[in-house]
Amino acid sequence: MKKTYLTFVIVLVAVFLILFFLGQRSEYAAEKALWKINQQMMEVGKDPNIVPDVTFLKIHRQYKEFTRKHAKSKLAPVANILSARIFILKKDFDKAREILEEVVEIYKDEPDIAVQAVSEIALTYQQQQSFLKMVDVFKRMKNEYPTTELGFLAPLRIGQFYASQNELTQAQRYFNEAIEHYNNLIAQNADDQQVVFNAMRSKAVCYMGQEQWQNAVDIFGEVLLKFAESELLTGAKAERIIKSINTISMVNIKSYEMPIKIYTQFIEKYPQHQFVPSLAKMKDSFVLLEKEKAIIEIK
Amino acid sequence: MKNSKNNPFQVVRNAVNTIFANKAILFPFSIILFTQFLILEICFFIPQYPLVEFFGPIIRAFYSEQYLHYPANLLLLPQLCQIAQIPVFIFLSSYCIGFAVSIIAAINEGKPVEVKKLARDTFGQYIHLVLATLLTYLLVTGGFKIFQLVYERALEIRSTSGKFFLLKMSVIQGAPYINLLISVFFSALMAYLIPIIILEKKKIIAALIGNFKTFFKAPFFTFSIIFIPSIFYVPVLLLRHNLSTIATFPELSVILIILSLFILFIIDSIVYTSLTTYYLVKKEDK
Repeated sequence: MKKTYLTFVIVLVAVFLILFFLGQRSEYAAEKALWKINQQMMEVGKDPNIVPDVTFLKIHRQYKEFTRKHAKSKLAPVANILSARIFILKKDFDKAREILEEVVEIYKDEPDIAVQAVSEIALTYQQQQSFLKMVDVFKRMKNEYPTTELGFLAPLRIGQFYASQNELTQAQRYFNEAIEHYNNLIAQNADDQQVVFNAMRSKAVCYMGQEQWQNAVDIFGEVLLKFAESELLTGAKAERIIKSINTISMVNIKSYEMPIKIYTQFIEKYPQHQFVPSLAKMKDSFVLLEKEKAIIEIK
Repeated sequence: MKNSKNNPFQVVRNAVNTIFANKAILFPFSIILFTQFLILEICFFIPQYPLVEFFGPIIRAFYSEQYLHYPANLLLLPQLCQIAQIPVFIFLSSYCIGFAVSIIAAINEGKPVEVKKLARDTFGQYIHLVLATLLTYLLVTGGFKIFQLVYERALEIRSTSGKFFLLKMSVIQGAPYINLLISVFFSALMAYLIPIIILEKKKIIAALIGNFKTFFKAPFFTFSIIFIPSIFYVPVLLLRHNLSTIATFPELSVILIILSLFILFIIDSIVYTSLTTYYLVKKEDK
């Protein structure tokens, strides 16, 4: 019986060790290591003012060690960017930008990663309240990384930033520039459904920023009708677009005509579409509300 | 092995002494424990190469991609282990518990414990043992489902003070302990099934009748024999449901599983030793 117990222990230990060592080079090991370093950064982030400098440097070194040990991991770029973010917490923005520019250089052939580092540079200027430099960085993202998601949204973000600062003139100007930029993208990439889809949605958000509600609803409606049968229009994205159409119509335009028109067109054009049952219900509700509104106005 | 007949504490104490004096009783339960640890190891390493190649698509299909990444996989681990334990309980634990009952009976009769012979003899009753544990499992699961309905009804109570609020909080906060009681109750209801199948060599239907006859002669006593060792599981429940440190130390869920497996090993050994020796004493008295 003792032999059997020993066999049990040996089998359990052997299985554990074999699976452990085989898994060491896997992405999971990298995830675990990075998570533990991130936990330390979260602790530091709770109150960076009371944290000694040596702690920031220790965490930075851990990120660097991670990128060395897991160089081939998908998480290596994330660790590189986070190694700069530790200096943002420390409010050493120059050092953070220096590291981020190094990251941009390392990943110059991978624009999706490089633009994330550039986006972090914008964050450093925002934290320093150097808003003009932040806007310059957004422009850099737009010009140098136009096909990446962050680069794509950069013109919109400039307008949204000025709107959040209540600088309405600047906001209008940059929203207009963004709309022009997206119109150019749509014209130049008419065959690229992904670009057209994203550009139209971004354009609608620009119109919302400018409070041009009618235009925003028009574009959202156009997106719904144009991409109804495309894989690009996922359930979640469609839901957001429909919510935007409904909210803007009810709260801002205070009329149900537009959603009724859009949903009627959709139902006629795509009678077998999966969205039709819910759109039909919405349309019927809006028709009722429109009638009630008309009765109130007559009274 | 002598028992004070109607004192469950004495019966449990004698069972513990018996186990210490005859460690061979632990052997079948060790087989169960070994299998459970093996399953835990496999579930633990699912997100990593090479197991992820086989289990990854299954986890993605039934749960989601996030549970193949650290630390979300450790949140899913207890559930995975629980699901994997079901076939182990029905097809392996049934046999091992029957095997343990054979060993206890041999010790009671003063015979030498011939492990291989007893293992072979127990295998002769395997089908009935499997049916017995399947029936117990279905009863316990049914009890859990009924409580789940009560739990969901309690969630709907909107009172924020008074007796309804108290009732609501008792059900919600007490859920893990109520589930433990349900498990103990239904285990007690079927407590003598396996001992009768092994000791009387009866088939499942006859064993069921014998089980209920024996149970209803001393229902509170039987419940107590199972309840007393099960109290050792309460600290595990307390730790599991009151620790927020799992968020900062996800491996704690693994430690809790290991702890609970060891405690269940001890509980099962004591419970089945107690039940079997009590049954044998009752049989001798007849």
